Amino acid sequence: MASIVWRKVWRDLAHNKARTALAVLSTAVGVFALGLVFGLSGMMRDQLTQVYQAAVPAHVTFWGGPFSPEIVDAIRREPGVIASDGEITASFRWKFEGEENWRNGAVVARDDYQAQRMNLLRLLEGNWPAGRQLGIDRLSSNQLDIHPGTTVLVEFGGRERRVAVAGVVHAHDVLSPEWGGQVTFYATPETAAWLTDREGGRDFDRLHVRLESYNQESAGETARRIKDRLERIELSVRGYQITDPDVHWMQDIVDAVVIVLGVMGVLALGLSAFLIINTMNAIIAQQVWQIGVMKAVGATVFRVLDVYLATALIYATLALLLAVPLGALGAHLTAVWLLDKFNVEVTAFQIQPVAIALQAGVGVAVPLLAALVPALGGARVTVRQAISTHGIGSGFGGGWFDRLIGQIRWLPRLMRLSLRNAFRRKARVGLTLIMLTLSGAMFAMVMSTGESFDNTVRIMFDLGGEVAITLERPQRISRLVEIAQAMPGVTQVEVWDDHGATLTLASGEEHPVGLNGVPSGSAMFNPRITSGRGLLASDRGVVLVNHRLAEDEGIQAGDQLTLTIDGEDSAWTVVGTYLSVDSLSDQFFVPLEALARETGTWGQGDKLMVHSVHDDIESQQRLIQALSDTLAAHHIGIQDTWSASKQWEESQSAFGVLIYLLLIMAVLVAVVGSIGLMSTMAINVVERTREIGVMRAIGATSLAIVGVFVIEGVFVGGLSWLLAVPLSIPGARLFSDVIGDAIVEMPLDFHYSASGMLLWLLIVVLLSALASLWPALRAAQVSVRESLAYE
Amino acid sequence: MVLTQEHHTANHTLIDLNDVVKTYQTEAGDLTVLKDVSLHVRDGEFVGVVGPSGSGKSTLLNMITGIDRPTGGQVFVTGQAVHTLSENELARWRGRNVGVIFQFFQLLPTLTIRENVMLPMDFCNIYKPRERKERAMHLLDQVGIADQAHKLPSALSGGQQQRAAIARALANDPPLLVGDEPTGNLDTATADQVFALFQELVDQGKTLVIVTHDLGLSERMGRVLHLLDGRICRDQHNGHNGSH
Repeated sequence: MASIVWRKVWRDLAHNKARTALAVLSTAVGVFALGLVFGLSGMMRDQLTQVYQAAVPAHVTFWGGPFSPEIVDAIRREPGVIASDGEITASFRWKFEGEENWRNGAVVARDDYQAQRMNLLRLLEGNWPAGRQLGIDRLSSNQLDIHPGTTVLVEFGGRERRVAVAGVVHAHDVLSPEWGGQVTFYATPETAAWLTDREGGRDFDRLHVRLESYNQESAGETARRIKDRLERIELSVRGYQITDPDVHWMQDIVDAVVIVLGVMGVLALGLSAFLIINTMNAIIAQQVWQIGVMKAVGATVFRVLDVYLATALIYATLALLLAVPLGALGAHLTAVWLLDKFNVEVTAFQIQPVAIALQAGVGVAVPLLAALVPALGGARVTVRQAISTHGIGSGFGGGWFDRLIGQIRWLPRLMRLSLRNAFRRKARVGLTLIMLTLSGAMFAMVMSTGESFDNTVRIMFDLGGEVAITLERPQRISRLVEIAQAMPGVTQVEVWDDHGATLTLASGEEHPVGLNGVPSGSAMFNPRITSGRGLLASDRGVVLVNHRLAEDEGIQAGDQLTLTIDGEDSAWTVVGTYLSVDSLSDQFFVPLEALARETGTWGQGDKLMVHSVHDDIESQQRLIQALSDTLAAHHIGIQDTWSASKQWEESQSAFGVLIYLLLIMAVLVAVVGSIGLMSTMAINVVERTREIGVMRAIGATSLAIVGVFVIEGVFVGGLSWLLAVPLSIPGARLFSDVIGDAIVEMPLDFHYSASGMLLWLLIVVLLSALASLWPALRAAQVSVRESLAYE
Repeated sequence: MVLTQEHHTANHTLIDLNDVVKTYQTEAGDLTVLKDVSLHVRDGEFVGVVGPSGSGKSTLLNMITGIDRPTGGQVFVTGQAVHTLSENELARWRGRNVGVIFQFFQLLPTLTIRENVMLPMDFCNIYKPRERKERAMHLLDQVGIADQAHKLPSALSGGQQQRAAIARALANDPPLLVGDEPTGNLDTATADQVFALFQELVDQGKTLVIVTHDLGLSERMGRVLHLLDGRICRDQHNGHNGSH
């Protein structure tokens, strides 16, 4: 391109710094969003995989036993096995000294922390647990401020013991307590036995196996062979799990989150493209007479096109300089924060080359493509059209729409002027409306998804009491009911029973499931039935299966399932499937009596379910404490406790991360939409400079002129809200279904956020007013003389 | 007489308009601004176009420069059938053959005066890149504002800006210069100075066609076309060609 023209391009950019800044910012927003999402995705994937593989995860885990050290050694010599290890696991309650309420905890005991073979723990602080000491996982340590030297009280079977924490360890397979994970302690087998009154010394209840090489099929065959061998020597194998060593156990959820963010990032980029089109239109509108002059002195369409594409290219380059480092920084900080929740510490700043390459490619291509249409339109303006813009322009009154608006006479006169002015350039206002409408629809989508998730989480509260206490051993139902009914505030009591079992899948894998025995005619059990029916009072050997496993395995109402309970097979008829929000385990519901027949626990149960008048965390915790104390006084040991309000809080915390990220995207989109409106209003002011002068000449004050433009902007914003409402309803449903499928593997229980849309109305009106204010104030500063001499 | 596309006359006619009609379609109905206008301008003439508002003066000029197209008739300028050219062909032809001077100067605001003069040279590539700066300075010197070469248009007076616009119009040494009210935005004294410049250019062999509402100035031109209601009602030859 000729050098003089390049000078024009650069000087035009420098001459109008505000517009250049707006254009660069609008491009940078979209490119930043891409960098954030793809950088985050790359880091999450890399780090999770790295940390997971570094932990040398077991390929197969069996639970049952007892697995003695000799058994563990023998399994190590199985063909295809290169390592085996045993673990003891137990649950107890614990608290800080001086604290009132007990907390749920778990202990994992290993033989030798110095010679680990798989599922490696790393010592981060202090010492490995030895003697009567505990280690604690890093996430729990950070959240609860437990460090080497801290002393905790452990309660099991009614006995309390003081134990010191010796060290903090990093484990790859713990879920943050913030998100509902259990506080996990580590100990020697002797310490675990001391804390939980456990007999059997060093016998393990978990057996981990690592194979020479891994693939799903051969791992399954080896697992079955080992299981058979263990059962032949009369060891109980309640189930086993095969784990892909290359895929982190939370990878699915992370991938889903990243996909969702990616979609939002692409939407933000799309809106940026609209904004660039708007900005280029603004430039062309201001420079149309210059285009005429250039063509008058010999410039062809392509030479003129060069000028404006070069402008777009410079905007793109400046935007990249801004967005690429910010995107990398944003991705790093977000990844550090998120990965910490998954117990992955990121120490070094990482650059994701793929994200940067994508930003560079898209960051240049999208602005150029977006600028092409307005630039081509401008370049094709004839010299006559370009230089003949004198007087006050018209552009209103010809079509049916203009006539329709012209009929609106009940507004004050200046507001009528604003309303009609808003539609003088229909293509331009159309583009702005698209941006703002999409912004509103996205805002509604995010808010509705949040409320739909709240609805969905409540489903789990229909699967039992508000407060649940799991006992160490089954107890007489009548005794438990008597104890619980005597507690103040308790309105309903039921006793359930839960037991582990395995289901043999079509692939031959023995899949662990939790069986929950529900008393006949339970008032607390109200599952959402997705197929078939629920449990009836008259039911016997029937089972209600969770929808997720049913879909995966093709289980339908009427099917017969064989469940292995305590080593014995039993047949169950599937009566239906229910909606489950638990994505970490498969829970089935059966009649309590039917379960008792298999487990030999007639008239007994190990789960006390209570409804009370209390619905807040503190009150429910106090009830749990009171119940626990009473049960302990009756020498009834407690394994763990649960309250609906606490579960609610933890679910909110976990899902809140996603909603928070989505809201950031929605805000970015709203900002882009507002910038678009500001740009449109700025063009309007420029084009109506002479008109402003005429208004001033006939008596309009600055306030009146500002008012005309601000109200015009507010009309556009308000109209976008009206358009967004019908668009957002199906959009929000679709979005919440997609999020639900991605995160909890089921469509969410949809709830449209009407309050969210009302909030958006306030936001868009405010943003529209603010976006119009700056151009309006500029309009008010134009003098009569300047505007009537305006060329 | 049928004129072919590549028409040359023995008497060096620079501009040939034959039965040119221009009709605009407006919301108020069809508006015919030029009605069967025929005009022949020879090399070196200094022609003024006068008439009341709406008589078709600017439209006539736009026909000559190719800025607008006739609804009927033919337009030949510098031997080129202008009415048959595409937009791009018109731009290229215009850059080399016609220098347009606007009433409001229309200098690009972010280019210096010298750069504004060099711009048409960059578009048309007649002069080598290393010659353009020197030529631009020569033209600015010719119009008397070489010392303003590095300033932006906003730093110049109206008269100086119009001189710069004239220098730009001369950038590619076109045979024809056209101006629509080029002194309309200037005070009398400055208008006189600019007019004197026009006379010098005519003396140098350029052909000038100027629309003006200033009858006093028009009397100093060699030939004056009086337009009324889209027709040339009078073609006045003043017996001189813009001499003082």
